[in-house]
Amino acid sequence: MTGTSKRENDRKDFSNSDDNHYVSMCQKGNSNAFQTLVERHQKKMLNIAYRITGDYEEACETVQEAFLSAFKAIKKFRGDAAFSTWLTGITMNHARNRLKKMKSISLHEGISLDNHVETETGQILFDPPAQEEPILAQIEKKELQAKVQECIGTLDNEFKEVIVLRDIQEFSYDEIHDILDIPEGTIKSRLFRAREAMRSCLKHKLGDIT
Amino acid sequence: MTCKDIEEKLTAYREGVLSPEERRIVESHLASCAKCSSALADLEKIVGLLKNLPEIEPPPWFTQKIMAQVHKEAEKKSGLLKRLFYPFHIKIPIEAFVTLCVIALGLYVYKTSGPEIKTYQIPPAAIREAPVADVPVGKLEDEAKPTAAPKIKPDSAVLGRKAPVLQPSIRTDEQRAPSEAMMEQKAEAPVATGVAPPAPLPSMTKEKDVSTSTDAERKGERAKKVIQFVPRPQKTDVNILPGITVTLSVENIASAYTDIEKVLGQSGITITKKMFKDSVQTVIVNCPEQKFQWLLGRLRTIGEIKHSPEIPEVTDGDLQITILVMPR
Repeated sequence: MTGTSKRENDRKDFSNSDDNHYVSMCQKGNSNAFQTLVERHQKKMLNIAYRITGDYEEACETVQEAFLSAFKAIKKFRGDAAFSTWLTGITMNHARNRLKKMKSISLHEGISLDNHVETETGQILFDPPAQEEPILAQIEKKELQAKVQECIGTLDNEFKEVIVLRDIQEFSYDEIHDILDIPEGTIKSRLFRAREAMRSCLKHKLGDIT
Repeated sequence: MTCKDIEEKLTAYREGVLSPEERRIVESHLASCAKCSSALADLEKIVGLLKNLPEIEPPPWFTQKIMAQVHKEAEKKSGLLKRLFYPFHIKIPIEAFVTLCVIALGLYVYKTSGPEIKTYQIPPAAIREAPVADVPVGKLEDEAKPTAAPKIKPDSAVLGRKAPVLQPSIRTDEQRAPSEAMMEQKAEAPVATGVAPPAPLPSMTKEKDVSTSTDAERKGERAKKVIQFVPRPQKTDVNILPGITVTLSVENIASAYTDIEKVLGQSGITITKKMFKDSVQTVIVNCPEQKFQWLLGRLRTIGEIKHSPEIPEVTDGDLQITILVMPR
């Protein structure tokens, strides 16, 4: 099963009305209802945070903070946008702050964030690859994916955010507008420049991307 | 349209959001421009690569860890709420109970002492008139009613309560010695004394006259007496006693009283009544007229006589003397 189809399934399964039911329960003080929301959205939030920070551990920390912030602010959620959109906005904010912190630390300690795409133990839990795929192809694919992630890491934050939300997580322009609170024109313009930067980076890393 | 213009439209072209005219222009350019075609292919490849990036899985402990933090936060919140409102949970029932008790007590006090409180508000004039109207005696009734009735009517409820307080004192006057009647009245009608304007004390001679007069005269006198008695004047009960009153100022009331008893015992003067109230020892005696001056002389040896009484003119030879022994 590809990542895209999984995302589509997620969207189908977790309708907004369902989320709103649990949100409403949380707003009435039932903290256990929040577990359902965590179970439903943690993976998506973790992927977003991981693509933004480029670090699995940092992504986990980011998502925990984001869920805690969401729980604290759940009474302020009015349902104008979908819960997942609201939660993604919170996760993006935390990821942005964590990235700043990481950059600040890397400046002091001289660590490059560009190569910091995996945990120290390298134990990132990816979707298991299809069994029929040859090992060599799997390795090549993994290397390619690592380089793509490296290139994402080289992007400025504003480009990184739109490319993660639009091309990886496939949010609509309206949703991205709700999450980042920027006009659609700006989203498209940033997306164009982000893709150009990706093309340039991948050409530099791979030689030829076609 | 230049290659740069076309490249900028490639995203929109790919997403199918260009107008038919723009789409036709882009497609025509792509057909003839290898560079732009290559750019479109790169775009497709990049978007494909991004879209196909593998999803990472959260660690198995992830939900538990998040929920542990959430529960901790929820407890903190409820802990804060409890700290703020817990005292009220306890206090509200207690306060409600105490409030009910206070209300009940207030009602009880109102029911028990309410009438007296109300009588304090009665205009003195109305009170003065009231007993006259209530006296159930022949002529007097006929004389009193026309004048008193219009004034009483508005306060009839209040006067209705007032009457029982006053009437027993009238009856007592008829049957008992004047001084006893006074003492009784003092105990029974403190309220009336509190509100009424000062009135002159009825003299001993008048009391005696009343006892020897005819029925009609006595009724008239009694009516007058009621009018005089009801408006009890000042605060101290003892001062208002009628008859001969000797006020004796002493250092020690107890020892002075013992001395007075001795003196009275020696002279054969009998004590008719004695009482101690408000730091004043009252002794009422029946004293033969010829022993009055002697008694005064002996009392001067015990204490200082503050108020020198006038010797009344009496015919039967016995005087009723009220000795008020009070501290200096």
